[in-house]
Amino acid sequence: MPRTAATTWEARDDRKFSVSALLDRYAGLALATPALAIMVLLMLYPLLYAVWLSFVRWTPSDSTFIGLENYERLFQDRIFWLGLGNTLFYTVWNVVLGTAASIGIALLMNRPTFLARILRLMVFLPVIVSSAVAAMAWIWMFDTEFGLVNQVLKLTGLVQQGVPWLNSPHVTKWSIVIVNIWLGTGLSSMLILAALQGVPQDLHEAAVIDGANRWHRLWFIVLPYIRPTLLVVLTLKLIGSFKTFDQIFIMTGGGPLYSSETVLIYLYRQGFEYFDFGFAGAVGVVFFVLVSVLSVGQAMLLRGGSK
Amino acid sequence: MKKLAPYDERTPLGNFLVNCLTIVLAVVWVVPFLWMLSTAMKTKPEIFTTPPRWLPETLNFDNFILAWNAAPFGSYYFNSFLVATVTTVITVLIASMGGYALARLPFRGRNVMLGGMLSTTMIPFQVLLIPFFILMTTLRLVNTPWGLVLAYVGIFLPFAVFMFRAYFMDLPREIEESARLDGCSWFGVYWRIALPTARPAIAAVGIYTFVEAWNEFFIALIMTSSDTVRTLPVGLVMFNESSAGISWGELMASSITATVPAIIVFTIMQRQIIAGLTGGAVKG
Repeated sequence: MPRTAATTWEARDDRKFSVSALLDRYAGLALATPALAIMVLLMLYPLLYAVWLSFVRWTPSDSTFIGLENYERLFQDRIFWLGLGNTLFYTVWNVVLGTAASIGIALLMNRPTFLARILRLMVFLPVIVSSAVAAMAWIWMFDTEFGLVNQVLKLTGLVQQGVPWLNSPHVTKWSIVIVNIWLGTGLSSMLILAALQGVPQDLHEAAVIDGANRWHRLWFIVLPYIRPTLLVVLTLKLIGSFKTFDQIFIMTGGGPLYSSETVLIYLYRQGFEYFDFGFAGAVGVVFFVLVSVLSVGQAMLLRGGSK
Repeated sequence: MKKLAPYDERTPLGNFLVNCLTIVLAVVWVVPFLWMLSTAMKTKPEIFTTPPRWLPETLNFDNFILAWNAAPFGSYYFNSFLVATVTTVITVLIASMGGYALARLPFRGRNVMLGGMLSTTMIPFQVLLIPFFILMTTLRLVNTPWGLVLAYVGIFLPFAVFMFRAYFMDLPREIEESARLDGCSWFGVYWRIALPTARPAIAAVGIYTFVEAWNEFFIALIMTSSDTVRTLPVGLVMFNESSAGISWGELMASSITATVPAIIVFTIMQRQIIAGLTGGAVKG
């Protein structure tokens, strides 16, 4: 049989019994094995371990099976519900305000001017710095006495006393919403900008001929056209804000008085301050279920959106 | 620069307003960083003045030196560099192998692996933190750079594999086919032909991984407990907790120092980073 590209491609090589021939025959598996091994060791195994943990009272040597006790305790803990409520609060506001801000900023970025390019750079900057650095910047910005925000507010006469941005149970949540939007807009506005640049010119021209003004075009042409991207951005924000930990933990640690607590800060505290691994495992499993529900929702929404 | 389409032109007043809005937003976004820079250059009395002084009187770099000596930032820097570099090299190597196998080579279990990889991207790594920690304790890797590297490779790998797979699937097969005809082994094809052609993918995945590993906070927080192992983000937060409200200048100076490498990499590789991050966002 003549050797063609196709047969060589698909079929195994000559049936020689040498190590190299054997290796070549199983090259696919061999090349994939390291990745596969890491996934099993670092993803699959820990995931199953987390589920197991959630059913035991954990001790280093002998953990005892306690059934659903961890979950019962979890669902009776007021702080957990507080954390879940706050997580939803951050998520909702980040999705609503963050998406709106991203669309607006992307529209401003989508102009062939020098200023628009500066804006792209500035808004993207927070994305590439560490969340720890961003949190430092905002802790200082939000300092009650000497922070820039209060200094400016006092200068303009809007407030007499400094606003306790990070020290008041009522204000802190909103401060965190501000920081989340500041951090998250870079990525989503870039995604929207890319989509905006893909809107065909002739659609605009046709609309102009039909007498559409700027707002008509935005509402009836641009936004429907970039709908798939908008759905991606929305769902990214949805799941992303649910998983937010770093900046909240660093800025407030969940305080004051648990007012900015989130599910993940709760998990951290149970696991790495109280070292109650079994209980923290249960928190993790609940968190996993919540994120999975959101992810499945996302997948369904995206499928509907791309039709 | 492309010109504006005629129907997108505004009146001079409209143009002016749009430009003003653009400037205001750009300023709002960059002010925390500028304020950080300004504070880092100030002396202590200057920092605590009301009304605020926008610019330091003289450029003084004392805070940078003070901060560098006040906490083991040299060690944090070294650890961040070590962990990010090793993570990047391992991730790129393993992901390109896996991505190539998934894109080109038929083998038993390929679809299972593909499905498995896809579903791991859905697992929030936070769920795995405690099992991770117990696993690393068993392996005696807690509080070592290698434990951190292992954790990072684990969480960055699925996305990296998909980036490489997508890239290899778009490549024409002809060169690889002729190499096969000439008797090259699959490893040879991967190493000598596919990998060198995949340079753009290596750049995108590599930079993305490096920046993410450099900036990562949560895992580093739980996996490190001594200054000899801590990375910059964790070291910075520890420094803040030990000096809160006393030495803003030093804190801001060390924050800037911690950001410099990421900013340098970003300025050089802007396009790849944005490609990686946006691609990562959509796929991961």
